[in-house]
This record gives sequence, C-alpha cells and structure tokens, in this order.
Amino acid sequence: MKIELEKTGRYSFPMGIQDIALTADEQRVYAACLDGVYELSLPARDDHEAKPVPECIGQHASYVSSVALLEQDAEVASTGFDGQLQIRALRSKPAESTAASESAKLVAPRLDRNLHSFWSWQMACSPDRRRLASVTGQYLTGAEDYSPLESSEPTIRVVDAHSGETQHEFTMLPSVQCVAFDPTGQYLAAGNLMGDLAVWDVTSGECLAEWRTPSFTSWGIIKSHCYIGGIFAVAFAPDSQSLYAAGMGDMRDPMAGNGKQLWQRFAWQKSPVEKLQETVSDQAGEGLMETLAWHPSGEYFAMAGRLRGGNWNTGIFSQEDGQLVGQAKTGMRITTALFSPAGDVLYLAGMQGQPGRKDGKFPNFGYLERYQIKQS
Amino acid sequence: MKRSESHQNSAPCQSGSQVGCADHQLHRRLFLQGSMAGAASVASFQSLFSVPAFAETVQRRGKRCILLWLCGAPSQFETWDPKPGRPSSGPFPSMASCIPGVHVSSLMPKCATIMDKLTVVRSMSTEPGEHFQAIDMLTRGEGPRPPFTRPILGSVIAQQLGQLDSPVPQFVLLDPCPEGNEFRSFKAANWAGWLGAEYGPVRFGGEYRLDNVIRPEELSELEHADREALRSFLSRKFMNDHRTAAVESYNAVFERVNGLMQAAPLFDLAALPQRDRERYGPGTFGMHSLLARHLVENGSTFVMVANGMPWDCHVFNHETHQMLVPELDRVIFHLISDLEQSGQLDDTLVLMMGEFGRTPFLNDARGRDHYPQAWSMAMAGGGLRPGVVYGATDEDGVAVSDKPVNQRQLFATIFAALGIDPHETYDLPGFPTFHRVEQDTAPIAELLA
Repeated sequence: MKIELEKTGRYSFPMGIQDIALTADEQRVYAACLDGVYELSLPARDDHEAKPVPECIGQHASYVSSVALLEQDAEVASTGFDGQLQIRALRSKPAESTAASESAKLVAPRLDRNLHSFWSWQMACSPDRRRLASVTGQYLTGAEDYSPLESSEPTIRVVDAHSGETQHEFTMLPSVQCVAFDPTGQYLAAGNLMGDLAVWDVTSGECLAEWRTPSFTSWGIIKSHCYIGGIFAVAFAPDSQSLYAAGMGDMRDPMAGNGKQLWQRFAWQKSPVEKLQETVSDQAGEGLMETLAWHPSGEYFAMAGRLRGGNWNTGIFSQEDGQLVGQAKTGMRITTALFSPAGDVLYLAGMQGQPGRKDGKFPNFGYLERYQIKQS
Repeated sequence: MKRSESHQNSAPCQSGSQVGCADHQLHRRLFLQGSMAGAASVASFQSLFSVPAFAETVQRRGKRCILLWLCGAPSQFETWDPKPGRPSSGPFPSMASCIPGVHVSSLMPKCATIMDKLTVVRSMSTEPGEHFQAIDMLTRGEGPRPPFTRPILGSVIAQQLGQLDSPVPQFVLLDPCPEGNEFRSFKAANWAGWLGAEYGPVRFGGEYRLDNVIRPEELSELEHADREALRSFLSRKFMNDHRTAAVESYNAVFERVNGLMQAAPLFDLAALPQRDRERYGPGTFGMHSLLARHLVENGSTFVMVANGMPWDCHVFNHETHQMLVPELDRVIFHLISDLEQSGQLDDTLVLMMGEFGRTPFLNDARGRDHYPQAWSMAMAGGGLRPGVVYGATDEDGVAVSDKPVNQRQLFATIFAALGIDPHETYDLPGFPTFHRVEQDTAPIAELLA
C-alpha cells in the first residue's frame, strides 16, 4: 500500500490552530485557535484560488485548546487554557466569508462552566456525541528531582455533552495532556507528561488498565533538571483492542525538541499491558508528534506534529505492520490531523512561527491545509 | 596580572580588605581603637561612627547580596510584564498586585502580594542575543576587552564588602545542576578576573555537602594543626624567595580550604528547620535559595543561586514556565519575607534576573526565543526603593517605551545600593584606565532608597 498526499488548499487564521472539527457535510470547519473559536466555510474542493476568511465566533479567557461538534453539528463545544467548557449554538447557515466579514461575530455560549482550575489541555467527544472528556494538570515541582506534584483536583473529567454535568472524575499524575474515546464510546484513554497511560470504562467508571512507557519523557541534564515532553496524543485502533500513543522520544536537552517522532501501540487489555509496535526507527525523523487520526477504512492512520529534523511531519502508517506508507512535509507545526468522513481528504491544522509585527499588526500564522489522498 | 602590582600602582583603594592602602590602615587603626574603647565605653565606640570613613566601611561591610541567577532567560511575559489580551501574551492571564494598577503574571500570585517590597525594572534593553555573551555581560556589567578580564559582580562585591580572613566563604556559587551548555562554558572562565583567584566563588554542586573538607578521622585536630603550621611556614619561606602570583593563589586556596573546613556545617541543609525546607523546596532551586539565605545570615557576602539553564524555553515555553515560575514565585516570596521578618532585608540586596528576555513571538516549537531588546528583572532589599516598577514596554512588549535601562545603569545602581563606588578606577599596569562601571554611567536615582 502506498499513500500519496496532494495539497489542494491552504487557509490562514489570525493565530495558531490547536484543534479542528469538521461538519459531516464538509461545508464548515471549526477551529480552536489561540485567540478564540473560529468558523470557516470551506471552498469547493476544485476551487484552489478561494481565500475564505475565518470568523471568530467565541472566545475563552486564554488559548482555546479543543473543539467538538455536537447535536448533529448544531452546536460547538470548546475548552480552553482557562479551564472552561463552553457550548454555543451555531447558525443554521454559515455567513458568506468575505474580506468584509473579518470582524468577529461572537456567539454567546449557552453553557459556560468551569471544568478545571488549570488548563484543559485537550477535550475529546464520544462517537455518539453524548459525552465530553477533558484533561488537565499543572506540572508543579513535587520532589528534588522535579518529578510532578500530585494534583489537588481530578485530572480527567467526563461530562454530559448537553448539560455539562460531571459523570466521572479520574486521577492521573499531572500534566495529563491527551484524551480519546474508543470507537464504541465505552472506553476512555488518557496520557500524561510522565508517560503514564490509563484506560477507563466510562459506563462503570472502572479503571481497566494503567501502565507507564518511559519512551516519551525527557529529564534534562544538559540544561535543566526538569521533566518535559510526555504523551501528546492517544487513539484507539478501530477494533478498540489496541491503544496508540504519540509524542517525541527522549531528548537529552529538554530545550532542543529533537526527540524521535514516535508512536507506540499497546495491547491494553493484556495483563500486564504489552507493547506491540512502535515507529520503525529508520522511518522517523525528529520532532514532537501531537496528533493521531485513523482513516475511516481502518487500514492506516496518520501521525503528525513538528518537523525538527528528517523528511516528514505527517506520516501515514499501515495498520497491519506499522510501516510508513505515506508522508508529507508541511512547513508548519501540525496540531490536528483529521480525515474526511469519506476518507478521500486529509485536513491538517496548526501554526507556523509567529511573525514579528508589521505596520503595528501581527500577520496571520495559523493554517489549515487540505490534502487529496491517493491510495495505490 | 598580580593584584599586588595593582596596589603599588593604584588607585583602587577599595574596602579595608586590601593591604597597603592608606585608607585601609586608617580603618584598621580606628577599628582596633574602637574595639578596645568599646569594651570600656559604648559612647566612645559610637563616637567612632562620627569618623565618616570608618562609618562608611562598617556600613558597607554589613551589606550582602543574593543573586537568583535565572539562567537561560525567563520570559518577561510570564513573569513581570504580562500583556493580557495581546497576541504576544501567551496563555497565562495577568493578576493585580498589591500596587494599584500594577499587574504581574497569574503564575506569580505570591509575588503579587509583596510587590510593594520589590523593585522591578521592565525596561531592560541590552545587546548580546546569545547566552554566553549575554551571561558574560550581565554578570560582569560590560562586554569583554581582552586581555583585561573584568571580575564578575560576585567577585567585586566579595572583594569590596567581604572579609578575606573570615572562615565563611565570601562568594558562594550554589550550582545544583552543573551542566547547562553555554553556562557551563561560562563557569569554566575566569570569574574573578584581575582581582585574583581568592575572589572567585566557592562552588557547591548538586549534593548537599562540601567535598574534601572533612578532616579524616585518623588525623587528630592537633596533628592537623601541626601539619598546617608546617605547610604555612614552608609556604611563607618559599614565597619570600619566589614571590609569584601562582604561589599567592596556591596559598589562598589553602587558606580557603581551612576556612571551608570550619564552615562546612553551614552547608548542611539537613540541619536547617524542616519547615523552612518544606517552604522553599522541594526542588533544588528552592533548597539552594534557602541555603543562600542561611549563608548570608552567617557571614557570606555574595551568594549566587543557579540551576542549570532551565529558562531557555525555545520549545515548550508555556509548559516549562507553568512549572518554573510558581517555584520562583514561592522562593522569592519566602526569601524576601524571611529577610524582612528577621530585619535583614535592609542590608541584603536580592537580585532576580537572567541574561535577557524572550521573544514576544511564539516560534513553531511552542517556544519563545532570545530577546535582549526589551525584558524585565527584579530586585529587593538593601539600598533600593521598594514598590517601584521602573520603565515600560509597548503594548506588545516588542520595544522599550519608557526609561530604557542597559547593563551599565543596572550595575551602577546595584553598586550604589550596596555603597560601592560605581566609578572606581582600575589602573592596572600595561592597561588603559578601566572603571568599575564604564562611561561615567550614573545609578538610577529613582531606584535607590
């Protein structure tokens, strides 16, 4: 199997994008940006010249970290580094995006509740869109070797997606940086700074598996005594039997960002949990990997992030043997990869380095890119 | 360069720790007179302070300094100069401090309550943008002009305010993370410069103990004293015949080790109250800051606390600052509060700074890069006016918009606060005239008490 990715569109946002959600009809994209929740009407796929302008429809008191579409795309939920969950109703028809509509058209949230006293690092929505799970945790010094202090609050919160009421609270050592539901919506997984992973049953609230992989976490010796890195993305395989974790391999200098582009696959239902596969060493470069996405066919998945050294920052990997079967080098840090429901398009969102001010304004540095998938 | 040569030629008539200086002889004579008179008459001892030169020396000698060296360079946006709502702000909101209208990062809630005790400069503007050069400049106060080697701040202060004959090391570098790329290279350089090795730091690493200063059990105190007397006699004899800087440095090292053997218990962190260790700890930076307080309380003149280069956040800026700033916040709060409560803040200057700031612009690695153009530092205590926030940057923190401060102004202010003449002349043989702070740079009057 070989996958080719052909870029067919690139759309800019004022600030960096941390997450995206796509409507079922692929007409609109909602983006969690550093400065707010944005709505973008996507041009037709054959319109390569269009430059749609995203509209800001909501803001948090800090960076927005995640978005999810609810109620058959009639609502958008967002979480932010302010620890809040906001849910806002969407317009039935998106406004025409023109240069004249650059100004923010804010929509007041119908629900705005505090989930955590620190950041919501990431939020996930269950496949049936009835549950949201958000993870938090501030890394504070807990020992002389700068291992993390236990959190004073639950670091994983599962809430009802309509009312925002808490259904479950789970605890994991801070900072808990990623969370995902399995395709059935029964299981929830999370990963943290220290390489801890856990899976819970969200119907019973039972913790089904807990383990630690040391591969994603660095402890500095060259410059600093602190931990850095950790797991930045988790995703269940389509059969829910395996859990994939992504991040960056060990770097001796925590400030270098030069760890291996890394995913690992675990048989989480085995006792003890067994590591089944990981990135083939000579197929990966260096850089933090922040997102995992499964193709609707279940035949392959994408892992993407930042390119620090090597040939790609979006890798396509075969489900069968973990081999790299496709790649793209985007020139930006990718925070979210998302396949279209039909599986023929891959959306990549993220940011470039923030440019300096020009004429008193900061130029755009958030980007959404659209890639046509060719499988052979 | 031999320090003794400088005495013969000089000019620098710095504090009484130097021999051969006319003023020093005056101070020493007055001090001895005062000591003897003091036994009999408080009044006559106090009258000693009416002699300006003596009073000044005694006053200066009471001063000391702690430098919290935030190597790698913290972000001003996540500490002292937040820009809420601006594209450069980062994810952390600001919070009001106890000074009306002054906000700091929400990562510093404890410091926000003692801003009236701090002196913050928000308008530092310097030139070097690479670590080594910037560390060099921000610890020496001036760029290099080889072959002249300017002593770093700690060496100058130890030489000016310290007591060489004290068994307690006058200049201590607490250095729990001995690595640190450019900082490691800098540490290998000549810190004391022309002042001589005896004004270099005693370095104390990650283990909470001093190595090789414990008398072996098989050696009695008497035997040790005999050996030292013999060594000292032979050294003096050798030095009389072969007077060189190397021999002087060799003897200085022996003297220092002798002092350290006596002072070793001061470095025993385990002997400090558990409650203090809990308040400052558990990280090594906090523990060493506590130790710094303990050392200056017990006779050290200058203690520099470093911790590798943890602030160099080219990647994960916010993720790292969420951990480091709360620790810094807690340490500053306890250090300043403790010194104030014990009545020692007036005589102890505390400096909190790195070598530059960090960019208003985020790079694609979630980081902020080096930014010397506009950054912040903080000070507190002896000789400074508390509750001052000096200078400003523009709305995005891109440029200094009010009262730029360079390293010379900063050093002149630090020296002035400690009662040290910033404009002292360094007349050394074979060199042009240097000054403690060049270009007649004046201290910033608004920052001085």
